[in-house]
Amino acid sequence: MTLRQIQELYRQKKATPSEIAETFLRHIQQREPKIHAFAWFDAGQVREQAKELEKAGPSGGRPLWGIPVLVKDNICVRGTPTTCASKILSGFRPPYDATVVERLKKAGAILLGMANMDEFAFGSSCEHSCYGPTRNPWDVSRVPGGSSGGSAAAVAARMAPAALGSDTGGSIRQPASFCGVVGLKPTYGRISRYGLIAFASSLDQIGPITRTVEDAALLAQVMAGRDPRDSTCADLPVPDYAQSLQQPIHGLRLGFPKEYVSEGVDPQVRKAIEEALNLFRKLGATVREVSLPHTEYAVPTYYIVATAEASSNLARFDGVRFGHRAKSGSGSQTLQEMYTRSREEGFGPEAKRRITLGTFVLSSGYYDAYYAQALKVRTLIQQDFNRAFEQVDCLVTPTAPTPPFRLGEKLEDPLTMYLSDILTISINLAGVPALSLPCGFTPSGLPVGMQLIAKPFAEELLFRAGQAYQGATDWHQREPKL
Amino acid sequence: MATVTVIGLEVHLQLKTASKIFCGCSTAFGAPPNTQVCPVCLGLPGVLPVLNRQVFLSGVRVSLALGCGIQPRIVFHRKNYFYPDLPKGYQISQYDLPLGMNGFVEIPSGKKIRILRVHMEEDAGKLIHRPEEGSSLVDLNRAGVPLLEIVTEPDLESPEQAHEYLKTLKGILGYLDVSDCDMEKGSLRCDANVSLKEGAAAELGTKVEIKNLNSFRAVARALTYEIQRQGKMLQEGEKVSQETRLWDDAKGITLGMRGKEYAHDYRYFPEPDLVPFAVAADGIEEARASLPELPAQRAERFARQYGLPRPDAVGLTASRSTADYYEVCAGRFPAGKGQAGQKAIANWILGDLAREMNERNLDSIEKLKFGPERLVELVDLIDSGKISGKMAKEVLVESIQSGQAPGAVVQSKGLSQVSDKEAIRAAARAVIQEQPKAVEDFKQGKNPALMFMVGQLMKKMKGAANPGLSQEVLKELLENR
Repeated sequence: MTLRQIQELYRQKKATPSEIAETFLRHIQQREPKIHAFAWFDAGQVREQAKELEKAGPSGGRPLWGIPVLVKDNICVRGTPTTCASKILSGFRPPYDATVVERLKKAGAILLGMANMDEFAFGSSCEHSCYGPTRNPWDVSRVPGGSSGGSAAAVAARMAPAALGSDTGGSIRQPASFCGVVGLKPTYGRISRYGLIAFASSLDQIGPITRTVEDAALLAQVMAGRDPRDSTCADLPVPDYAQSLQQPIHGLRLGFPKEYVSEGVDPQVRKAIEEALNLFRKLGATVREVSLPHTEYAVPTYYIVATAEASSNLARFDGVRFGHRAKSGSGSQTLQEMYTRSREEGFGPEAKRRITLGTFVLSSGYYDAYYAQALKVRTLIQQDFNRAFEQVDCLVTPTAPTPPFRLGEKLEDPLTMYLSDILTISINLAGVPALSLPCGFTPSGLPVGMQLIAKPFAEELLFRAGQAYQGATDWHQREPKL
Repeated sequence: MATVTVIGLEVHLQLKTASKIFCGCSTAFGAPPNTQVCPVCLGLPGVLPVLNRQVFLSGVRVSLALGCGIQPRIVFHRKNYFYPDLPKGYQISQYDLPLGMNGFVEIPSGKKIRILRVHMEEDAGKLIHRPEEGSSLVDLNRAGVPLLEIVTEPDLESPEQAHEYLKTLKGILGYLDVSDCDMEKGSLRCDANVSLKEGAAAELGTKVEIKNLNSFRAVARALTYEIQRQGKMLQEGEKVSQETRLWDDAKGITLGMRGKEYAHDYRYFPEPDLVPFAVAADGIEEARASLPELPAQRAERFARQYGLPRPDAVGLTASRSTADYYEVCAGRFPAGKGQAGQKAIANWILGDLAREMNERNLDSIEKLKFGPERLVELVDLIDSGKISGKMAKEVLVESIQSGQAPGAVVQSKGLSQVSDKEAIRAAARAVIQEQPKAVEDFKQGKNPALMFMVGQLMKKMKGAANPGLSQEVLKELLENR
């Protein structure tokens, strides 16, 4: 069921929030043991929320009344364990809601639980979790992508009709692509980050993961807009996305960045994108080749900026005020020992790797060579996009260079793992919005995703193009056999 | 060759905004531990800072009052280090683009002390150590209280100059009303950098930073100690090492800090959670226009308007409350008394009132419970001949102690001055009888002898004689002998 379908059932009084909740609880009961998409879950709380909504009734102004939504484990929900899938946050229950959670609750959503992820969103496979890996519903020997792997897998497996993810370098789009669902990375500043446990503050954005573009637009509508608690959240009006969905794409100028096929993209993926472009042409859009010349520098630039910010953002996990603190062994321990041991025990290997990298690139003597240089290249990458958007309205690329890979396949090789974000990280560096949507399957039945990119705050265009594409295809209606 | 002392001061000023720099928590001093905290200043995961506009506005006022240029684009940086009083593991501060730059403070001796920078940052919390339990507690009420850091160039050459600078700076800050400037409560804190060099032209020596300076007096004492310590080391051919030392006020010495405190690499980088913003030029001009009259300008006006000598004008205007006090007195002074009366008021404030404040350890004339109307009353009592200047000093002390008005003190103590010419003449005759030597001296033309006899007369009359009249009567009797 999509959000629109659930809303239609409610409108026709054919279902109650409790009945809808029970449907998803049943799916969770059946499929979660195989998929392992949840970091935290309490069926009792889900039922309670549904009952309360029923009692209040579908009064006006609550656009998500009775809609179950799964929340990624790095987005704070008051009183609920929010741990970033990290041992260092074990036992942490935030005394506040993230702004997006507050808005979902106010809109009448039912919170389904917390979704598994790569620890602190460091990863592209959902294998770096203190709760163990999540599996891809299309092939449980494969990864769901990451870091929002739990969110995407749950939506694909019909355990949730919608989920929230966060995207720092592809963490919404790549798992959406791997799981055959829709994922939106909004413009930097479109949705408040208040309550999102920061990975890289200048890159992070919260976004929806759904089955249809229409549903993504519905969730974005509720979450977007100014938040006085986040200075980086833009004070710009939010357009009526539902209306833009209806607009035709005739005359829409699409661009295909040539650098995005030379990057070792799998032939099956390339074929799916070519077919998608053909379809867009049929729908009345024009397609031309464009260039984003600094694409090859995106990966190193990203891993300097993102790790630098992460090394600082993760300093607060020190065992002093919350989360994991190492027990003092025999006798007392010094402050230094408490810090070192708490962090050593609390962080997983990938988190340690990134903190170390980030600390290094900010160190005196290296700052200019790495961090300062990366900021300059970041500007060049932004300019690439500005120039491209002078020529076209929307860019079309594959979301990931390959279909989902096998569990363990890249775990021991961080560099190869980092390259699976190669087509998504430039978007975060540039701060522009991008949407991933299913555009085909490999012969072995693995989903392939397409990425649409627009200029800042032009989410409308993405929804319009995505909606037109989904209106003409049925990839998003396919269901994994579970 | 003579050794030259080079001192630079870093002042941390807590701004008295109602709320903290990045959240809405109260900044009030002295609340029970961890009662003025929220997820933001506790550094909980996921929360974000939002700049308190008032902090920026106060920062601009201070920068402008210190003659600084204002940075056209405001950027914050993160200063990264681990300490339990620093909840986020970094302090949000300013780095290479401070709010204000290149100003100066002119100290009373006329020297201009250059101000290198004024920047905004957040304060850290406080640790409460419990050695008997082998633990430490963290109080984060202070975490996120707004600070301005005001850094001088190394322009100060002596502990006295450092003291003068701090007093002048505090005076200016008092006029701006942006901080309590109370060192005891920690709302004004000072670190000093000091080094010695051989001769004025030589390169700077090795710098030592002194922390834990809790009063202006401590700053001067610590610098004096440190200059002697370093001087002795250099004389003995030892090398001064670059380090941070703590002032021990009880022992009167500085002590090297253990460990590698100064080997920090703070890994500064631009704070991504706060968006840089441009400062509007007309906004700065507006702020400049709204600055109050500052001590230097006010001193100039006092000299002009009240005909005061420059040192008096500077002394009166160093603190806003003293200057306001003076102006109330000067305004209420009966017309026609002219500049002599206004000078007399200045003398009282800078002399007796200042001494009474010092003795009571008061930092503001308002706390002296002797308002300007009382000083006017006191001076009126003298001018109308009711009491002598000498008696007035006693009346002042009594009035401050008892809280009674000067007139009431004179009445209740029966201190009224004797202006009865006959009573004075009788006493004068007695003095002339008792002091033949002085009489002889007077006849020889030695004028001090007359003053001596006036003093004797006063003593006889227990200070109650009108001094002018006494002199007149004595002179008359002596000359008519």
